[in-house]
Amino acid sequence: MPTTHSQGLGGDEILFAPVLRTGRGFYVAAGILLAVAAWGVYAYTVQIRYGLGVTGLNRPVAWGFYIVNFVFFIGISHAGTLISAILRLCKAEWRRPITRAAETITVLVLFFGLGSIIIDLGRPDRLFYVLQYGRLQSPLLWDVTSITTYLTASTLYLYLPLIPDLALLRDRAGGWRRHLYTAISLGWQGSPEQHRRLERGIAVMAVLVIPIAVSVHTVVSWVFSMTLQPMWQSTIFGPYFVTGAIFSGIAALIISMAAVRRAYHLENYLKPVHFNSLALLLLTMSLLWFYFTFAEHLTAYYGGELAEGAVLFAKVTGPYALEFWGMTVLNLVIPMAIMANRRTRTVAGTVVASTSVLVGMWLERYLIVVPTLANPRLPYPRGIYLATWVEWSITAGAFALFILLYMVFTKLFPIISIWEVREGREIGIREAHERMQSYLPGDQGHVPAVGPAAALR
Amino acid sequence: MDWLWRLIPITVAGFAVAFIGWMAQMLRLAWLRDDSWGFTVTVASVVIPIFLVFVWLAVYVMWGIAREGLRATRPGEPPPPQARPGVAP
Repeated sequence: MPTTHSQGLGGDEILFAPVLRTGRGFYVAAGILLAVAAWGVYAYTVQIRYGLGVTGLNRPVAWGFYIVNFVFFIGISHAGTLISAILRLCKAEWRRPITRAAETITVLVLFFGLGSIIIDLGRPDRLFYVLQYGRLQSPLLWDVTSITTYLTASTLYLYLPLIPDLALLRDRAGGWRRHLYTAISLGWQGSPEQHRRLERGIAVMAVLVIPIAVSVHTVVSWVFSMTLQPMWQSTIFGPYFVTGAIFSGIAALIISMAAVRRAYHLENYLKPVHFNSLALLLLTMSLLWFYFTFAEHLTAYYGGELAEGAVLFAKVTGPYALEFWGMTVLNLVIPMAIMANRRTRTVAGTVVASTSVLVGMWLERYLIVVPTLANPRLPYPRGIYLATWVEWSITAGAFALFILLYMVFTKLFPIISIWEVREGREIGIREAHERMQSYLPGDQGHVPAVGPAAALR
Repeated sequence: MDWLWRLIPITVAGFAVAFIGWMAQMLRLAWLRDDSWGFTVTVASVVIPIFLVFVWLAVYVMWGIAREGLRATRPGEPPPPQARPGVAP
């Protein structure tokens, strides 16, 4: 097998280290996560055996943790593809080391979003009814369609930029790995024709995936807002959900970046400047999220509609007040306090803020789903919802399995796009300098080249 | 092992065609039952073109890359031209 394009990687060899070598820490962490995931699977078998009666779901609260997880996971999926695609189209050069991590989150987490729906069905065999007798008047089926489209697009968008790196791995690995990388690297040699086709494919997918991603979370919001339930029927639910999704997605991306940075010693690639840039995005999304939350709750309060008021006050001063004010602190106060201050906007600071946002956004999804169902508009008795050990266990198992699969991915594929980093060094700097020249007024010849760009002149 | 290179393009194209087939089945059901025809046509008219793009991706991009790779490794073939920076030595 030719090895021409895998030579001369220099310092970038460290990016192969996690794939080619595995330490004991990985197995310990994987073992713990596997145990939690196995407990979740056991809980699910209990639910399959005895039915949804083992959960806290009841009448009128027919949706609980599983639907909360579904909305949360689909939201996290915006980490990747959307952020990566937007940064790629904007030619933001700082994107290069972070796109792979972001795209991986998207693909993996979408499986858990879909899985949450199947778990919520109680009887998973009923999924086939959707395929056989689906009726596209239902927003639930719009969801099935849009999420399948998004999952396919995200997988392709993760795979295409992976191809050159798979070829690099093919030329280094032995045994079964060599066969695997040979099969999935599509015979990549790095020829101009292969590059032309690959870049055309990536460019088309980067454009296509953005409206798909936006539509997915908009459609998720329509599952709620197409009903007449209090505090669900809202015209701003689409952008509100998309904002929350990008918000939580950025938080997940920051945490995953910090984890691989520390575990695989990638400080030279995932630098404080990357965390700083994402932290500023997180801060922006925090403010935007607060704006939508405030608008949503103020209109419900000012309208004075009885059913809406019951839900609103259940959240603000009633049985869900702790979750509501906790959500506000976690999604606004803590991120603002950390992110708005340059001294605390460090790697550790952004991780603390991101963890706060992830917990806060899960609570936000909970507060959207449960209080409305517990206080229905129709004259049903009001309900309460308390999740049982089965739901807690399945939720914990899902999160553990997601982290485990992410870890396994980093053991099979480089979590930082090697060829894109190299391309950034060799082409990106020059292109960025040329772009700068084109932005500035006056004679282009008078713009001084500085830093690495000067060397390229 | 050369045949393995074709596995992914064929899988992607196959899945995309299967999804388009499912959409066609939804259209057929909606037509036969005279039920939610407008919704079905609207959703199908958005989704089918997207999956056609995926078919294009499998055929033009993936199959094309694989074909180029096969050509380059065939005995007696000249080595591929110098690759652009970023992946070239």
